[in-house]
Amino acid sequence: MTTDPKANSAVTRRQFLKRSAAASTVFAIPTIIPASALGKGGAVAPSNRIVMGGIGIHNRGGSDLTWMMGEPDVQFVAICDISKERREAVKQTIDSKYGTKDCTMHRDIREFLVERTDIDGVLIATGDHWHALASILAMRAGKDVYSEKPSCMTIAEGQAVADTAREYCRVYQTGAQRLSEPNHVFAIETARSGRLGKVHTAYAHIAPWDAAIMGNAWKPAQPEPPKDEVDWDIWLGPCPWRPYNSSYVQGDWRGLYDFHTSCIGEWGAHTFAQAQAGINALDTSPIDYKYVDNPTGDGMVTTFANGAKMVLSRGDKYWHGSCGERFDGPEGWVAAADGYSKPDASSPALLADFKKVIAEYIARTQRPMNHVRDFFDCIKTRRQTVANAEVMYRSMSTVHAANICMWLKRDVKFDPIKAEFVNDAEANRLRSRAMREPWII
Amino acid sequence: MKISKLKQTLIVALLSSGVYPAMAQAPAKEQEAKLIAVLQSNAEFLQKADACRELARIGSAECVPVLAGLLADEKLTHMARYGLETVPGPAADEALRAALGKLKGRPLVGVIGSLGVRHDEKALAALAGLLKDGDAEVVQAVARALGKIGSAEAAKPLLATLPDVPAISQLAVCEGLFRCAEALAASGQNDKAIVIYDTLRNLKQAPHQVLAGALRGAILTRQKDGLPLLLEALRGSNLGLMLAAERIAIEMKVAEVSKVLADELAKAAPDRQLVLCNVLGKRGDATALPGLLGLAKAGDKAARVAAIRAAVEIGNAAAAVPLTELLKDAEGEVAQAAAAGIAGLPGPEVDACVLRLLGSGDQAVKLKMIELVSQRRIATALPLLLKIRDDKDEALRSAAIRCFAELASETEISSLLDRLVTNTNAAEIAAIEKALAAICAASADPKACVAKLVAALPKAGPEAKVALLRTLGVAGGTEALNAMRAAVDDSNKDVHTAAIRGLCEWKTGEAAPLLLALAKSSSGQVDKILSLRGYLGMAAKQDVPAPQRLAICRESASMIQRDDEKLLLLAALANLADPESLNLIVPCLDVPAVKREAVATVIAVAEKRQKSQSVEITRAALKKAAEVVTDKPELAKRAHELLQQMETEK
Repeated sequence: MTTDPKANSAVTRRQFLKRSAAASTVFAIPTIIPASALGKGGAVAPSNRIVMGGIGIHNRGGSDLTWMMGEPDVQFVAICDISKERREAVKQTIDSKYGTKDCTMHRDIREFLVERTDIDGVLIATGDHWHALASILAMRAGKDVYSEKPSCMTIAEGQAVADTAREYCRVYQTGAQRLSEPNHVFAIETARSGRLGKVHTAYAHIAPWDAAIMGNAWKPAQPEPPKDEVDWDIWLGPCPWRPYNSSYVQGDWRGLYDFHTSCIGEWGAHTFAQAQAGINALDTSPIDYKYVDNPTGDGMVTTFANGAKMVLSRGDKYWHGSCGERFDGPEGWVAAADGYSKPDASSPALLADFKKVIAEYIARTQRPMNHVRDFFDCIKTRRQTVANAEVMYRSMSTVHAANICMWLKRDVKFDPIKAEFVNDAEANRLRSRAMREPWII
Repeated sequence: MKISKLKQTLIVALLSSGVYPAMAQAPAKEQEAKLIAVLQSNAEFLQKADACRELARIGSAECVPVLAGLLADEKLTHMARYGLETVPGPAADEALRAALGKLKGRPLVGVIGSLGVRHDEKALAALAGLLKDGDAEVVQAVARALGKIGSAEAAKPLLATLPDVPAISQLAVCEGLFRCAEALAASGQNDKAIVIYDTLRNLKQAPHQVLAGALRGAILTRQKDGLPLLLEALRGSNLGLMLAAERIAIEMKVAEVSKVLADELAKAAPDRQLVLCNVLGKRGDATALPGLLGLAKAGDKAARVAAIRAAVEIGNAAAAVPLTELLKDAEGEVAQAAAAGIAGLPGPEVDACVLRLLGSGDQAVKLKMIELVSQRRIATALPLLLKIRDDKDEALRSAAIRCFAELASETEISSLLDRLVTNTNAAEIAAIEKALAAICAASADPKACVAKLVAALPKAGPEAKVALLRTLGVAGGTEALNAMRAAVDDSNKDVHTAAIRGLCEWKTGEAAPLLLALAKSSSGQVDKILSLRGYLGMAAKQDVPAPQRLAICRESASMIQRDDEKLLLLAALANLADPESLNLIVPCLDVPAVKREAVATVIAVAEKRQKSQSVEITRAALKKAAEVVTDKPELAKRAHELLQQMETEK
C-alpha cells in the first residue's frame, strides 16, 4: 500500500460533500456546497457521487451491481476479477449503464486497491472463501465495504473483519439484506418490542440443500490457463492449494470445506442475524449448541446467555417461503419469509400494527428499507450499517459454532466474549485455519 | 520410516472419506501416528496435505518435528503450517521460531503469520530483527504478527521503525501498532495505548484511514478527557478527521458528550449542524432534545430537517408537541419531516397529542391527523372519527370513515352497519366491507357477527347488500349460507348475481346441494353455468369426503354440455385417486377440444392407483389414452410405461 496525500485530501473533501447532502432531503444541497458543484437536470453532481469498484462480480454479485447502479448517487468505475471473461462482461455492463468506456479492469486485488485511490467503496461478491480477506484488504486501503454473505469462513476471520473495520473507522455492510426488508423488520421489531411478551424461542431457516457434513475431494486436474485468462492462484487465495479445474471458478464448490460454510452458513448467514436481531442478541452468539443426529443440523437447539433459544430449521414448518425466521413468546408468534406479501402472525391484531411498527422503526433508526441504500447513506454519514461488521461477526460465529457442533458430532459450549469454546481444545482448533502465504491477515 | 503399500492405501482411503467423517475417528494417538507415517512416506501431495489437515485437528507435540521438517518445502509449507498452527503446547512455537532463521520468501512470511496467530511472545526478538528485512512482504507480516502479540514489548520495535519504514510497509506497521494499542487498552494500560494512538495521528503523510483510526483510539481511550480532541476535530478544517470524529462521537459512551455537542449546535455553521444532528440522533440522549427542537424551528432548511429527524430518532415523546407546531411550516420539507416524525414517535403521550389536533385542528391538520391515527392505530380516536364522518367536507368525511373502518373492532359492528346500509359511496362501502370482513374473520363469536349482518340485509340498499353478502361469505356458517341462498331470489340483478357467486365460492361443501339445485332449476343460462361450476368446485373442498366428491363429479358430468366445464371436471377428477373416476374421464378422450387434458388426467389417476384397486378399468383407459394422444409423444410414452408397470404387477 502506498500513501498518497493528494488522493487522501481529495477523498475527504468529496466524502464531506456527500455526507452533507445525505443529511438533507432528496439531495437538497446545504449552504456549504457551491452552486458549481451541482449537477444538471436533476443528476447528482460528480462531487456528490459515491465512487464504487466491484470485486468478483458474478451471479449474485450481478444482482447487487444492478441494484447499486440504480442508486442515483452511485457510480461504478472499476472491476477486479481473476477471470478475464467476467472482467470484460462487468465492464460492458458498467460502461453501458453510464454511456462511458472508462471502467477499468484489474486482475490482482492488491494492485487494484493501490491503483484506484479514488474509489470510496467496493462491492465484494467473490466466492465465499474470499469475502473476509477481500474485505480486510479493502478496508486497510481505506475503502468502505459491502460484502456478500457468508462473509467469513471461520470465527477468526469474522473477528479480523470486525477488528479491521473498527481500527480504520470503515463502513461495512454484509449482504444480509432481509434486515432492511419490511416483512422481516416487522417480525424482528414485533419480537424486540415485547408485543409477543418475552420471546423464548426464535427459529432460523437453514438451506434446504447441501449438508452440514462437508467433503474435501479434488476435481480432476485440468491444464491451468494463463494468469490473464484465469488467475488460479489468486482464486485459491488463502485456501490450501489444489489443482485447477474450471468448474470451481464457475461456482461448483458448494459442500467443500475449504470454500463453503455448509447448509447452515448458506442461509444462516441471513437468518441467524434476523433471529438474533429479534431477541436483542446481535452483539453475541449462543453459548450452548445441542448436537442433532442428522446430516444437516435441522432441529439443533442453541441457547443464548439470557436463556432465549434459537432453533435451526430446514423445512417449512415455521414459515412459508425461504430464508425465514420466527419468534415465539407467551403472547403470540410472528414469522417472516421471502415470497409472501405479508408476514405470518398468531393473530390479525399483531399484523394490524404493520405500518405502525415499520414507521416506528424508521423513525427510531432513520434507516431506509433498502439494504444497499443503507450502505450508501452510511458511507455519507459514517454511521454503522444495519448489518455492520460486528453483526456479521456475531451471527457468523453462530454459524461456525453450529457447524463445529455438527462436525464433532457432540454438544459444544461457546463463550462469545472470549470467542472460544469452553474447556474444549478440540473445538477451539476449528476456530481458525492457517492461511496460505502471502494471504496472511 | 517407510510404511507398507497396503497400510498406505488404507490411510489414503481414510483421508479421502471426507473431512468430517474423519473427525469421528478414534484413538487420536494411533491416528496421529498413521498420519505422521503418511508425511514420512513418498505419498502423493494430496495425501500429505490431507494428513496435515487432520493433524490440525488432532496433532500433538509428536507430529511437530515432521511438520516442521516440511516448512521449507515450497509445495507443502502451507499445509505444514496448517497442521502446526493449531497444535497446543510450546513444541509448535519452538519449531516455528526455529524456522525463522532458516527460511526466506513466502515460506518465511507464512511462518511469521503463524507465530502471530499463536501470540508467541518468545518470538518477539527474532521477529523484531526481521523488521529491517529487505523483503517487504516479510516486513509487513512481522509488523502484523507483532500486533497480534500485542504487548508493550511488541509495540516498541514497531514504534521505533515507524519513522523510517518504507512507504510500502507503513500501513502494516500502523496496523501492528493499532493491534498493540487495542490490546494494551483492553488490559488497562491506557497510557501506553494513548502514546501509540498519538504517534499515529501525528504521523506525516499517513493514509486517511490511519489518521481516522488513530483519532478514534486517542479519543475513546482518553474517555472523558478525549472530549477536547473530539471537539477540535468536529470544529476543524480537516474534513477527514471531522468525519471520523462524527463516527467516534456516536460511539463514545461518555455521558457528557451529548450535552457538549448540543451546546455546540447553536454556535455551529449549518454544515456542522448537520453533523451534530446526526450524532445527537444516533446517541439517543434526551438531553439533546431542547437544542435540536430549537434548531428545528428556524435556520438552514437542511439543518432544520436534520434536527427534526434527530429529535425523532431519540424517541422521546416530549418531541411530539413541538413537532406538531411545524406541521404547517412554510418549508414543505420541514412540515413533511415533522409529520413523518410524529408518525414514528412511540408512546401514548404522542397519541394524545394527535387526538388533540384531530379534535381542534383545521381541515388540513385533521386530514393529516387521520392519517396518523390510522398509521399509529389509535383506537381511542374512534369516537372522534364517528363525529368527523358526518363532516360536510367530503375528503375529511371519507378519510374518517376509512380510518374508522380500519380501527373498528367487534364492538363497532353495529355502528359500521348503520353507516353501510344506506350508503351509496363506493369507496366508503369498500372500506366498511373490508373492516367487517376483518372483524368477522377474527371474531371469537362469528355466529353473533353473522346474526347482525343478516339482520342488516333487509334494510340495506343494493350496493350495501352486495357488500354484506360478500362479508357473509367470509364469515361462513349455516345462517350465513341460508341468507346467501335467500338472496339468490332478490329482485335486484346485482344482488342476485352476488349471491350466486357467494354460493359458488362458499368455503365448505355445505353449499353443494344448493348449487346443484340451482344448476338444475335456474332459468337463466349464466346462472346455470355459474352454479354448475360452483358445484364442481365443491369437489375440491377438503371437508367433502372422497366418495361425495366423486358423486359430485358424476352428477356434474350428466349436466355438462360445454368444453370449458369438461376441463373443470377433468381437473376435479385428476385429484381423485379413484379408478372409478376413469369412467367419467374416458368419454372425454373422444372430445377433440379436451382430449389432451383427458389423457393427462387418465395418467394422473393411473399414477395414484393403489395396487389393491382394479387393474382392468385403468388398463383400458390407459390403452385408449395412448391411442388417441397422437400429438403429445411424451404423454403416450408415459401411458405405455404405466401399462408396462401394470404388467409386471402380474
